[in-house]
Amino acid sequence: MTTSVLLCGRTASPTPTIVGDAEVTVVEDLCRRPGQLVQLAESADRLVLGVCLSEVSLGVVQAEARHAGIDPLGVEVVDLESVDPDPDRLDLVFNARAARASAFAGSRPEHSKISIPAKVSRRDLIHRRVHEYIAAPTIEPSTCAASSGCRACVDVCPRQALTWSAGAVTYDRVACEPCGRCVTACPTGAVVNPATTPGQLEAEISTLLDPSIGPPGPRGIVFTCSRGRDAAPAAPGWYPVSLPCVGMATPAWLLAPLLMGAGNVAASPCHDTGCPLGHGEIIHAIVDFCRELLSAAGESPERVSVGPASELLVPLLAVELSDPFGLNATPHIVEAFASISPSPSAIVVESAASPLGIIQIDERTCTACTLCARSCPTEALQFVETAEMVTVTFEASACVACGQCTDRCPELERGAIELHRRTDWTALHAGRVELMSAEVVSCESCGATIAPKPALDRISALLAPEDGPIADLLQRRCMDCRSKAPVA
Amino acid sequence: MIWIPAGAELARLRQALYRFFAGAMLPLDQRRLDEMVAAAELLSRSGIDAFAFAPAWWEVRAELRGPHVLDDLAAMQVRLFEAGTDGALCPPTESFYLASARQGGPALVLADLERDFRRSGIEVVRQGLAADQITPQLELMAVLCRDEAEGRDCGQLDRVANSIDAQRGFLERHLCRWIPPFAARTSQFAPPGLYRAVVAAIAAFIDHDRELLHVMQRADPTGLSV
Repeated sequence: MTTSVLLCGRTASPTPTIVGDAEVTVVEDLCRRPGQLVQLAESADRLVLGVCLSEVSLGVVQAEARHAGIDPLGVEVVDLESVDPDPDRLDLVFNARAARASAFAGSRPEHSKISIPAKVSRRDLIHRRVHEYIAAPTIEPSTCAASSGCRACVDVCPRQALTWSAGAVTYDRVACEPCGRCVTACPTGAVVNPATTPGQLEAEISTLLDPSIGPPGPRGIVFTCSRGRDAAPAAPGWYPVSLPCVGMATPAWLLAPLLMGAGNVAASPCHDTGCPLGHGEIIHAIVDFCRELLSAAGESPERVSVGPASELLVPLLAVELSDPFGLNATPHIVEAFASISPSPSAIVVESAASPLGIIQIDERTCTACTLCARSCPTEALQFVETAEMVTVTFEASACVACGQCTDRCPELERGAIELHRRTDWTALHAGRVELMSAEVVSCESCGATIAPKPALDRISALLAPEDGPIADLLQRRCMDCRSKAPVA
Repeated sequence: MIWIPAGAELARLRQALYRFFAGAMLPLDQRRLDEMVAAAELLSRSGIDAFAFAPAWWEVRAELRGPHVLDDLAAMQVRLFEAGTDGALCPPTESFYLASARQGGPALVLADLERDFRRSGIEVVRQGLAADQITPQLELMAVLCRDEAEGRDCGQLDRVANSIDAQRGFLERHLCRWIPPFAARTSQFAPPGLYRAVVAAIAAFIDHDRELLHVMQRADPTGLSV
């Protein structure tokens, strides 16, 4: 994989020094003659462009990249007019974007969503508006849990672009306004946006926090919205990381950079008036959760904020994290904070934004139907059924609080199952625990399994008093034997 | 620098692509193959690279540029789309994919289609290819694109808006509903080669076109400025 960095020579910015294999080329007048990138980038697979976006439109850059055989969704564009020209900062920004470009794994045509940009370049004003493409998600059917009833992506979509029907999720790219909420809500990682993957985030953020590159002093990571190009420039020391919408950021994404060397992390919604997709409350709730968790771990809650804080704190000691932005990152991040906390058992945060959950089952009302375990997309809930017993077990570190189990429970109203959106270090350490077990009733005639006893008891209770003989028979004989010896 | 078509040019490029694909699905002879090779080269210089379906198009162009044996290709076209002892492997007909899901079966699908053709000013003659075949449907889209291009040339806002509306409606009611299962079936049964590439490109193109028309309408109801 070869990455090229091309800079327009018209801007007076200094040429950045790129660590690693990426080649840097300064091209005279690249903004006005973007067709040059075909020749320059023909030996590269990935591209980082430093151009003035007031001169050249993203749509033209993408078309030229595609023409050069480079996947346009993986092209990283640094707007030279808005980036800080300080040489050290420029080095850091370009190195980080080169790392992100190198980590791009490629896209398919269905990942490209057409968009007519609201903001146009000067050239567009003279000629015409040129369409551009933004990365849209796709659903990988082999890992999607829709067949077991999961609708986690459908539930969070602000544009109703996802629908669940007959065990499958249908995605409408036309209706979608790619915000990425479905990507991070998916408990199995089946929804993928190829331009915002855990690997890309890790590559970009770990480079931004690499002390061997860029200026000295503490650094802050600010997650910004890619649609908010007018967002206020980051304060000194803060480095923006672009997401389709800040609303897609998970608590793990906000906390992980602190363990990788950032002094502070911020989530910055794209408009002063709030997120146009209605994610403002979610962003605040996630930041509040992170702050509570930091407090519980004995750290300053000021390390995480909505919008960049004015003062950057001294970074924590960096901790080795594996896949810090991946699907199962949260328990490892909580564990890492516990390792530097004076009192790990104090890490208990109950919040609607908790990325982890604790399930409780009330054995008095649960009928042991096991629908909860069957619908659990992460297998946090599992069941074991033998001829004598059915047992439901739970592992807190695998529960992502998606709520599919409570949605499916037929006895929810009677309080059979309860989801506590709680991140609890002690529970994470408990391993797999038994939540309930029930006796399985066998046929007195042939010995075959009938059903769990609580389920039969519930059916009997629902039958009218005059149906007593039927209830009695249900408790004693299997379906086959009942048909042989019907009720008189 | 790459040419990015817009307005009437874009409508004409789309018209040409629909015509290309409509012809590519017909039985093959030397003349048609030569025309396809020439048309593919011409279209490749018409700004297709500006669109996300371009990689699928490149596959078609590569297949046409590569060495091929006419008889083998013609036999593959027949086996896949025309006939076989057990019928065509991948019938390119709407009713094959959608009729079972609808009350009334193929007759209702055909009646729907004929109504859509008539709405666009085209009388369906009950000879040759039926209206539920891929070629007449792609040809209809080409006619609608030409209408849009002419409307843009003359600055006839209503004509452009009506044409875009008709194109979008036909795509959503017909092609976008049955081409994806047809393409999935073709990728299952067709060996790597020209026809697999052509059907994949048709699927990518119509999927892109539906979204493009939607974006054009949303950006400007007449679509004139895009």
